[in-house]
Amino acid sequence: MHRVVLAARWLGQRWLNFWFEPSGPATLGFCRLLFFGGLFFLYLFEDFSAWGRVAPVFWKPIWLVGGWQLTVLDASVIAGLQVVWKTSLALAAVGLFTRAGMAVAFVAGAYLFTLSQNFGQVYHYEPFLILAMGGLALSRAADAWSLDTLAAAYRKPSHDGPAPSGEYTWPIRLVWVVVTLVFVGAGISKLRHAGPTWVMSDTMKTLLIRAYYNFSNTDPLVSWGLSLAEWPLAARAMAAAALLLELTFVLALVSRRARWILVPGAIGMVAGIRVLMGPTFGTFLLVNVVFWPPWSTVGRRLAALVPQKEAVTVFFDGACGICAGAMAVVRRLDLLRRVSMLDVVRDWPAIPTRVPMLTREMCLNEMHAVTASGAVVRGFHAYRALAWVVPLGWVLIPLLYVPGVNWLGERTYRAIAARRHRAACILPQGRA
Amino acid sequence: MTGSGTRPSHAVSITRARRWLVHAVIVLFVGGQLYAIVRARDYWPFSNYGMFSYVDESQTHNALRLFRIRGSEELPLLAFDHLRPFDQARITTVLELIKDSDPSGSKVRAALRDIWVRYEEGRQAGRHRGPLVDGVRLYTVEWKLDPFARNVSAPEQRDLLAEFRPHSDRLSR
Repeated sequence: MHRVVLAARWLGQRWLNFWFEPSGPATLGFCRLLFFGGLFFLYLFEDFSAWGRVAPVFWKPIWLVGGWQLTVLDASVIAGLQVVWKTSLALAAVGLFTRAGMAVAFVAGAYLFTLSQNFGQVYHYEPFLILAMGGLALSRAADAWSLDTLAAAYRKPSHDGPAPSGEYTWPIRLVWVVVTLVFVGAGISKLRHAGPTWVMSDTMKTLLIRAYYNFSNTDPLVSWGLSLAEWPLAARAMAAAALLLELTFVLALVSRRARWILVPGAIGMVAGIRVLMGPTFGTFLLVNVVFWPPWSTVGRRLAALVPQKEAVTVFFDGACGICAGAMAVVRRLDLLRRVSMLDVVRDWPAIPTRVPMLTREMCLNEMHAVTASGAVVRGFHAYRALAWVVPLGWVLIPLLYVPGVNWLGERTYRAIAARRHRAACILPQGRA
Repeated sequence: MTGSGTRPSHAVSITRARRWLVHAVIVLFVGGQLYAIVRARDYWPFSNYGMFSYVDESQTHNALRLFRIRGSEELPLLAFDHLRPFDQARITTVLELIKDSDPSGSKVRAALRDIWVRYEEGRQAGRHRGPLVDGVRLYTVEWKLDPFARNVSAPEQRDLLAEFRPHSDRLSR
């Protein structure tokens, strides 16, 4: 009895560790960006409203829709709903009004994805997307890699990022489990309906040939499947590899080493199905590519490849809420750690020793920066120097050198700087 | 935007209620998926993912096929742009269901009419470059599987099931 209790406790602890092992917010936030961004681009030109114009004779409701006596909405309503959905996908991706965006993306997406299933054939390309969107809608995926986070950093510059928490683990693990059950379910289904015969027979060969008879939603991309079908042993080996991968995929949940083999294997299999047989599992590729990699580790390793030299030093007025907020935003964007910041009020003695030509008054009047080449720039030009070293700034660089932007940038900077001197700059709470 | 340059400061705790909510979601999602696998059925959005699960060594391929009629010519009707929002697989499956549920054939004719109407609307709106067609025909088609799929456009057997022409629609059985 005692052993049973101990085993139950051990299992319970393992269960809690699996779902709630503390992790930082970065990986989940990055997954959110990639997932919703990927969905946005995948479905940008998809017109769901066409289902609203199909004759009722085609309407074959699935259990969920038939049971609730739901019907297809008018085409114009579906058109409006899909605009709302695509907008919510974009908002959820960039992280603006993220919680609301993810919730709307889930509800509207669930309806739109379910709609097409009521016309004779249920496809398996999208159900796990609904589950993934549902999990993310309840998560704290907005705590990193989002405009909301930047706005929060601006409002409360003294607050740093959130500490590691299980809140950033369970949504990713939930998607892992959902994906795993897709593979395992497919494997079990083959064993149940065909057993080892699925591998030992010419089933794979037949499927490879049948694919060229317009069998799937789209046709194969190349004719290599027919060449493969010429080799029964190769076709059987493919079948065996597919079945083995499906049945062992559960190991990816618990073993990092197995993940290194099984996840790329699954991605290869899904891509192979598209190329050789036709079915479009692009959504499945997206979910696998987005949720399995440990993005924080990937980011750290990539950043380590970049020479860790200081590129820009910024001198800012730490007693000014606008300046402190702007620097908090830059700190969040400084993924390569190429920016160092000195508060003119707090760190003054250190500044003239580094740049003797600067006076305290100059630094309090305008933000100054020293570039890697030693050039001292100020105001708008200081922000432009930051754009060169902050990755997100790279996309702005062409814009910042458009004729006229220089003039406009200087005027805008001066207008804001003048405004802060008219006591418009209030130090945020927690800074005083 | 990660805050990689910052020091973590405030803890994000999971309250008891929140933990229950998360567990409820886990149980719903995982339980639903497991139930579909055990029952070997689809309960959208849960599924047993049973596609391609059966032994298939048949040397023939049977399917319904749509054709556009243009004068004495027949052109396959398979492209997504022509069938939108259906694709070539879903239209075949749903026509099969309609055919099986309606021995009189009137529903099949209504379906063909709708297919023709949407084809024409798409053509007139410039959504596809297909030609103006006189009508639509539905065949049951059988192929002997060829290792190089050389007979895709020339099936061994073809039986007319139904035809729709906008001005003189009739049903052939």
